[in-house]
Amino acid sequence: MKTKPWQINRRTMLRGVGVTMALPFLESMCWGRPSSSPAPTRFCGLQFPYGCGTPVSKDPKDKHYEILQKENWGFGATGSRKDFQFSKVLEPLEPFKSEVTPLLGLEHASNIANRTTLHGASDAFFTGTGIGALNLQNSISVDQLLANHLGVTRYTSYVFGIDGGIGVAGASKTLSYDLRGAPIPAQSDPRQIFDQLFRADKQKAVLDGLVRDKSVLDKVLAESKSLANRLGKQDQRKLDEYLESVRHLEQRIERRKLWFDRPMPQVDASKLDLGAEDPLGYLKVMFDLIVLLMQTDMVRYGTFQLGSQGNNGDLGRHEMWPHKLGILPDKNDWHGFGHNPNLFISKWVRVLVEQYAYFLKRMSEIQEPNGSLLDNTAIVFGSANYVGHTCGNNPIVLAGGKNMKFKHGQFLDYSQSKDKPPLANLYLTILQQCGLPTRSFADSTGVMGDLLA
Amino acid sequence: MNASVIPSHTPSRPGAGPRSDGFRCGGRESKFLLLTFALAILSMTARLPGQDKAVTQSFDGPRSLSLFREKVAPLLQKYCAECHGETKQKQDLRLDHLNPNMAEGTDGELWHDVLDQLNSGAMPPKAKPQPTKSEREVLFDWLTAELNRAAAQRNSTGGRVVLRRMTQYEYQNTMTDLLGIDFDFAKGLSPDERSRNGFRNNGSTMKFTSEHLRHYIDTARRALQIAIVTDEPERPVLHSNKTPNNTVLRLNRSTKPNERVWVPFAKGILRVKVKVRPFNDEVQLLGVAAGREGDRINDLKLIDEVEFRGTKRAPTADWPKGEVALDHWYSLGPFSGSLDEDFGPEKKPLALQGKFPAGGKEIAWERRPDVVEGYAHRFSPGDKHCTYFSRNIKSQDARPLPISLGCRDGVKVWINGNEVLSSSKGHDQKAKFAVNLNKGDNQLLVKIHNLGRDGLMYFKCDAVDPPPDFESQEFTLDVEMATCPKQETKGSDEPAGGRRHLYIGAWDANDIPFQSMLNLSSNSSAEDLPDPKGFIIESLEAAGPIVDPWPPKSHSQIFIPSPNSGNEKVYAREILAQFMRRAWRRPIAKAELDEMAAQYETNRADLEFVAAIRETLVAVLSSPNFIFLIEPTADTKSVALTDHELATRLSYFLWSTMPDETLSRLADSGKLRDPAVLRRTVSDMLSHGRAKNFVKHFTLQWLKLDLLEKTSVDPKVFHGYESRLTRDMVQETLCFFEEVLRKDMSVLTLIDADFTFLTRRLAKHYGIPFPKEATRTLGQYVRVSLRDEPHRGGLLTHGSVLLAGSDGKYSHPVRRGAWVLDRLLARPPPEPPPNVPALDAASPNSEKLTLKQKLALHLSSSACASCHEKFDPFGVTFEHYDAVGIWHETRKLVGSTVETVDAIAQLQDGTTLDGVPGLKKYLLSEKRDVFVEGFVRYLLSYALGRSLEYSDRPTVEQLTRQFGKDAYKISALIQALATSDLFQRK
Repeated sequence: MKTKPWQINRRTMLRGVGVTMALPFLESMCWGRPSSSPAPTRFCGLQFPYGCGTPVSKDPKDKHYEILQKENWGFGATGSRKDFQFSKVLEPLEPFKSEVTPLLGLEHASNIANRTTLHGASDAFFTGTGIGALNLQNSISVDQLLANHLGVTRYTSYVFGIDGGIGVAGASKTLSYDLRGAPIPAQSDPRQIFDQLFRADKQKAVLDGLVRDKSVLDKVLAESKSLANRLGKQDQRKLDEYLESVRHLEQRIERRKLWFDRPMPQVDASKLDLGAEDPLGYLKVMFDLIVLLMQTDMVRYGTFQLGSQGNNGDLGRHEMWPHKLGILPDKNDWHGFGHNPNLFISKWVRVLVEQYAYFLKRMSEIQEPNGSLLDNTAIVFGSANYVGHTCGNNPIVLAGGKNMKFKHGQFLDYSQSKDKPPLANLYLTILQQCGLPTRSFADSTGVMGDLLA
Repeated sequence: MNASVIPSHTPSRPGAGPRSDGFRCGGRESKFLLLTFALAILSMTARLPGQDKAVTQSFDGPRSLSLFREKVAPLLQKYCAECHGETKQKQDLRLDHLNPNMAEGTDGELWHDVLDQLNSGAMPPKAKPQPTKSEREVLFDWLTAELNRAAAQRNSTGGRVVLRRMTQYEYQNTMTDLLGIDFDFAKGLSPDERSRNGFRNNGSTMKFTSEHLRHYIDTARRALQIAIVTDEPERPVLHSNKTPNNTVLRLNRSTKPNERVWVPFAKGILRVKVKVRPFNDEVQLLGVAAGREGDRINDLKLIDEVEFRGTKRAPTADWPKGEVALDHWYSLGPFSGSLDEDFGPEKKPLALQGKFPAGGKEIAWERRPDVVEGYAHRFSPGDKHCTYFSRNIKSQDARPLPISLGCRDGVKVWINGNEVLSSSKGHDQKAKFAVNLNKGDNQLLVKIHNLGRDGLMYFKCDAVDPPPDFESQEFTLDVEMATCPKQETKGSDEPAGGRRHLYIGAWDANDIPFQSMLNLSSNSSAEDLPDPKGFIIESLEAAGPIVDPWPPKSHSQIFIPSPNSGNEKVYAREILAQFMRRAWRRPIAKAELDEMAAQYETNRADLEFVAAIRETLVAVLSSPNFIFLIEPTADTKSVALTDHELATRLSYFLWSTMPDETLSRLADSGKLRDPAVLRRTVSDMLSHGRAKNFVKHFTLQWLKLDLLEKTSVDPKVFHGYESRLTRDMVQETLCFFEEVLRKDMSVLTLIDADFTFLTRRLAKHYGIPFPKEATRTLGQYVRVSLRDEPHRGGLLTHGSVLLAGSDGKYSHPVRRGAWVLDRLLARPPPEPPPNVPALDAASPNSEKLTLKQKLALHLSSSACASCHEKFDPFGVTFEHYDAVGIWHETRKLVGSTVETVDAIAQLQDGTTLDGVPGLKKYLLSEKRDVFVEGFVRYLLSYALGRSLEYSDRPTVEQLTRQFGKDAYKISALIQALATSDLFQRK
């Protein structure tokens, strides 16, 4: 059994949640005005499903290798660490070449060791837990670990996904997992997100509502406890999910009460296309919301799932998108799309990279006292699959966080090196640079010095 | 070692003699291994149903160990032992040390790796001897079966129904029945995921998150605010969009045919009276829809619709009256050519007779009652085509008549043969011009030269209309305002409860809704005015709110009449007692009532009486006692359900909602368990209208059709395919299943039948003649005989199933094949392995391959083949049916090659199936028992809300036997299931 250092701090952490809360960063700095106080650190995790071909293969005769290499449609770059050229997939990142680091060859060793199913690997992308075919229990994700310890803002984290909800283990619709390893439902509707997160709690009625909610929760909590005594073990475990959600809502209510009197930033929604339904418009507004949330310092840590894996015949929303955009010419057939060596998936991922570049552009345009919002945010964009929809060798682009000592403008390819750092090392590095003094995360073996200035 | 000395299905004694041979290992290890094997066998065989609840099995059970011993171990010895055996342990892996019992042992994940290596062809190494195809199959089948068993065991519920919350649809139904209001209770709740066995009501798969609790609390509060009324009924007011506080909205045909109405109230009913005048006697639909401002047509929610057809009006003698009177329009065309070309009618402008050559055929003037004054008439003659319109104008004296004529293309106008207008760039309707009329008959001739695809003609003048051909009809549509989406508030002048935004509109004969409803502005130009297809709206009135009775039933069933209604404290208790009894589906203990009453007291401290009750009810509806279907038991032994638990199980099984009053009273009386009573109850429940919920949810989940309506059909391939066709297809399947259930036909009818249910639309789609006597057409499903339809009959030929097995563009034989194996033969294909090598489909000619060649490619990869050869052949038999279920003899390949469809498939065992008829025959003969048992398993799984396990096997076998004796009647199976121990005990 591995020791997980953050578990030792559990008590401290629990005390930290919702109760002892520092003043929001914004209050001391007044939005946008220069101030001497340092800007906060932030993290954003983005993941896309089904992977993308990397121009690297264990077997140079591999068909994938050939086709991707020839056309330069692999995910990654060519050249040396310092002097490199983006592949066609990453080309949209050209304006941000000095702000990003393409990373190849990282993977969750635990995934590989536990024969994680190719779909299940997505569940574990930000947790690093080895989800086997037989064991689907997950553990806490990077963003939640940060949120639990450092979440001093109005909301501790944002959990977005284009499909929404939690899905099922092995085909999750969220990237974030709580301390127990339970999935946190992702929000997918831009309008709902805006209404919920930016609506000012000005009326007394809202506060009354919170009091009412608390009263309902107290009542049902008491009821569930007495009910639990009359249930068998099996049923008790199910009821635990209910109890946990009661506690979760209670925490949210406590937090809202604490923040009730603090002014809500006034946000102009007129430029947001909250009703966007076309793929590109939708992704754009979701990224706009994330920028807005971080810019106003309402929240600092979170994830946005750029698509989920199909479950038992149910397809996710994004699975229609490549066809809609005319990238997948003939068929709406993800199975063939994912498993066959073709350039379609690379072309689709390039579309996502374009949206990612838009996100980076927005982030870099927002000025904070010590640089841009991008300089204060570590962003991971990647997939738990690589070519042919298989596990391992994760395609990743790290961006931002210069003020957190991240060094960019380099291409790090570990795929051929003998001791590849586990993907968890990247997360450990991010955790530490975000200000969380933890010594390990999942199966990490140390920080990635290559990434740091 | 060889464990053959240990009888495989009886408990072994520890130390039962080992004998070393074959797959052996020496010394200490062998003893260890033996012990492992022996223990494994012990634990497997000790688990006879009912004996040990703690250890359970997947449905397929522990047959695999003997298989391992006899078949698998020797193969591993033969092909793997050299490197992964006693002498060498490459990669530290020694196969004879792995525990073959994956369920209880710890080596499951390692075995999984063995399967993947084998699958991907990586092992045994290419240079070493390879297992034969049949040996590969033995290994593959054992590994898959054992892994499945292990996975099932991890998720085992111990053969018990697990505590489960209501599904999304059960919550919707239950709240509707409980509160008695029409409301979208489940809106915003993320849908329940499909479990491994396909059902969404599986307690182990269903998760509960804070998102759910948040939803339940908010929804209960919102819904109770509608159900409970605090004010006096509003007086009905007539509403209009133009003058919000004025009296009546009246639309006559000089304004607009379709109109939006702002409705400033949220409760009660808006009564919409619409007067329409049809142009023909076809069946048409008129409807009211609600939506937010700016919503697109497809976002609107249809609230109510009415079907009607025109009735001919008796000819009247009182026309023409007035100074100038118009006759109907006639049209002639299209003719291909320029505006200046005379196609014939200009030579003899006063005659509407004769034939004119156009596009190789002869055409004649056509009477057009649908070209209505004051509306933009749309037509599609094609680019650079001319169309003539002509009408007679009767005048009492010679005089000029000012007319408005709008069109966007080239136009010429003649009166009595004299050209009065000629323009190549169209004409603005606002630029009125006069035509000189003679006394008596005058002929107005208009010629429009179309530029582009669509043509448009608008005409209006101050004259008496022609008498309508058909009678006007008036309809009343009631709109429950609570069901309408709320308009987002923008200003502070919003009425309480928010505004609702309604659209009144029509479907044309092709059933395309609301196409012309939007884009209505007060300054409509000719282009903005929609073309009335089959009728126009003459007038429209909307009045409300109408609440009858007052207070509504939703209120009075909570605030029950009571002699104690003056005594708040006592009355509150009465209210709570009776509401909790209904909501929690069981009698309420005094302690529970006391606690809830205390909650009420807390609320009452700072809330009015009604509000305090309402808040307390929010807690009742957020409680696990409501949300979950609870069957408390701390007992490790199985015990009988209480009467109320049984009533609840039955109700959610057959109705997908809470028990009604009759069922509850039966449970109260304690007689429900009486076999005769139970039998009658089940039979009554099945004939109740609510049993439609069973038909719907069981059928759609079993056949995996519940998301079909989201399938987008490629409009570029299937021109004119309407999404309503998909709905019709789903309904076809539901009506069909319901008929088999209600008419007590054999379940085998589902595979092959000589009837189905069609709408006129669907019949046209399939190319099946629709019975003439079926007059009501559009929304109505009519039983149609298929005796003369060789390509239709049974589920396999339903559009729903065929569309589900497609990608909306092409048929998808792999998906169809897997569906047959999974749903009809109850053998779900296993999950694909983690690292699937790609097919060699990169060759540029792959598009030109025939389907069979493509599938052969699939089967040439050993990793894919082991699974795909089990179901791909089934898929081939469907090849005559395209993505939307139309039967074709031939098919076009890329380019212009046409191939004759080859739907002959060869199964793994050599059986040849010729198309769907061959597949049906195969299912009904060779696979009849498998299908029937599979159906029993799926039904049982749905009824219990859990996956089946090994311990359920005897029940399944017994039910299947009984099913056979009952001539495979589904109702009989449901009866038997309801009386089985599995259903009766917890």
